[in-house]
Amino acid sequence: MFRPLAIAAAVLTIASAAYAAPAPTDPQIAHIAYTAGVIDIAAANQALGKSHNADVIAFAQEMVRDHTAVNNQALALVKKLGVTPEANPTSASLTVQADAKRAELAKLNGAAFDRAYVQNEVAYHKLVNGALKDTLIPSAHNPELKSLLSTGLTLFTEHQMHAEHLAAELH
Amino acid sequence: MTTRRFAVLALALLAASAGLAACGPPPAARTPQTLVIVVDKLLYGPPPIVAHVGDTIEWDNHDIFEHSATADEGAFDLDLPAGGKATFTLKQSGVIRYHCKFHPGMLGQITVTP
Repeated sequence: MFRPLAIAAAVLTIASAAYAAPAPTDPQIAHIAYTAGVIDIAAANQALGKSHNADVIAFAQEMVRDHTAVNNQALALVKKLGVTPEANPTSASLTVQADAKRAELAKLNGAAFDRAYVQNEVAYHKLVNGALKDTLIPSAHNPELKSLLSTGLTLFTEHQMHAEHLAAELH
Repeated sequence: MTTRRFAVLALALLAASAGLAACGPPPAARTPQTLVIVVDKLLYGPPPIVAHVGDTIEWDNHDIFEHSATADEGAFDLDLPAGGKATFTLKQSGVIRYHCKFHPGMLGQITVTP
């Protein structure tokens, strides 16, 4: 029950940024997107430290590589635009929930950890993709930020698909 | 040379020249080409309109992400680092389907003619 509740809470948290006035600003959007990447890199690093499954390790390495690339691009963009990413309740809530999930996963080992990690990757990417599509991209004003977020959505959709394939193999 | 002999020789020369004209010069051997497929925004660019056996396909990865060009049937498995490129020379005709082993929605296809 914990997982569906946590995901529902996260969805509500991000959705509220869209439906409660005011809409997130570009500095807030940049912070949320960057935080989302940092969270997935931390999850991948946990997997790299615990898993012995070659496919899970390859997936986690891909998450580190791709999210690091996007976040580096995001840092370069905000620097170019002279924008300072702004901490906000949405990114804080995402971090709190991700910390709780990592603590939960830390108690698992072997195949149980692999399955739980990959299932969470499916749910997490679904959550972030929904937020990007419905809230963050429509709210972004700067065209370059909007473009980077759109590339992020394409990339994370690929990650979700990859995680779904992996989850089916591990089931 | 008698008139008759001259006529036979002239006919032979005419026939020979007519034969050469019909055959024409021998066809020049086709020069293999390098055909580029640009990889950008997690998509393989359009495949070459015509690719022949002996041509080389070059994938240029313009993305900031690592990709691969991996043949479904195992003919090649090329790593495409961010900003990098890789090549494969077509060895036989047919349809080659390929994908990115990291990003399963990235699919490509090349039709190779003799």
